Amino acid sequence: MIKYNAVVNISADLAIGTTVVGGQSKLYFRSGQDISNKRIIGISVTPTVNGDATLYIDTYLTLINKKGEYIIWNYPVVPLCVGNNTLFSATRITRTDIENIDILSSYYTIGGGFTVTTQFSWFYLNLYY
Amino acid sequence: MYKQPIIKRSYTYIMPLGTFPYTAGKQVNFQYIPILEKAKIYGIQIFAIGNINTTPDNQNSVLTIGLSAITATFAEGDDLFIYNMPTTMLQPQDINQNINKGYSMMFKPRKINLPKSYVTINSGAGTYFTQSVVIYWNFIYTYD
Repeated sequence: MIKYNAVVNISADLAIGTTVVGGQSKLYFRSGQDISNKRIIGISVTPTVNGDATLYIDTYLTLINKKGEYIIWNYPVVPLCVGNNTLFSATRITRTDIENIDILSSYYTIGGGFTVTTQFSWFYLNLYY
Repeated sequence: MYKQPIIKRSYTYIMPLGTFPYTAGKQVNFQYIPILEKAKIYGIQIFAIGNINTTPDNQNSVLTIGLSAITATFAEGDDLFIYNMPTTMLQPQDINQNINKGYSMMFKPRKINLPKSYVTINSGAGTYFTQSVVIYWNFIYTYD
């Protein structure tokens, strides 16, 4: 199974110290590789800060395809977080059968408020194909 | 039955339960969702506190204990093929790997008649609800 990382650089969109108001921020993927010709068979999120659920618990993933269709819309991130950690305890990759994903149109939405810090600057989505 | 679904498409629906406090026996229907009109839904999930706190539009999610006071009924046409199912059965997993251990309720693909489908709040006691909340549904579907 080949894994591909797509990355959101939160601090590229929001200054360190910014308090994000719930429901008003979309964080877009900045990874440049075109994966639209891949069939994605699984997705997971890698927590960048071990043990801290603050950021992830109100974050939602939206994946859009090249036709502009919302394939996955506002899926909670916490169940996607696979980790050897008591808080991020999904033990299996979420299985999918999706293709033609336009990663640069896809994004995370923040539901609750949080403050951007350096430890929350990077947000990884793993796409398996 | 419980399985790990293979997601082809998923759509989330935020169901407001109305203004707190809630009266026992209150029914809340789903609204018509255009994108799901021709969809065949084969998995239904609920995410509550533990997986989320506030929704993408900054509303407060129901607690898991609140779900224990709510049952769900789903219709296909006029056939109530799911009747008064405890909504706790639709939670895949909480942050501590409890509830249904990451598995989701799945069934054969159906065109669900959402406006005829509803939840019933069986108790509005303070044990279950302390404020106005919403239920965060996720429908797993295909058009094939």
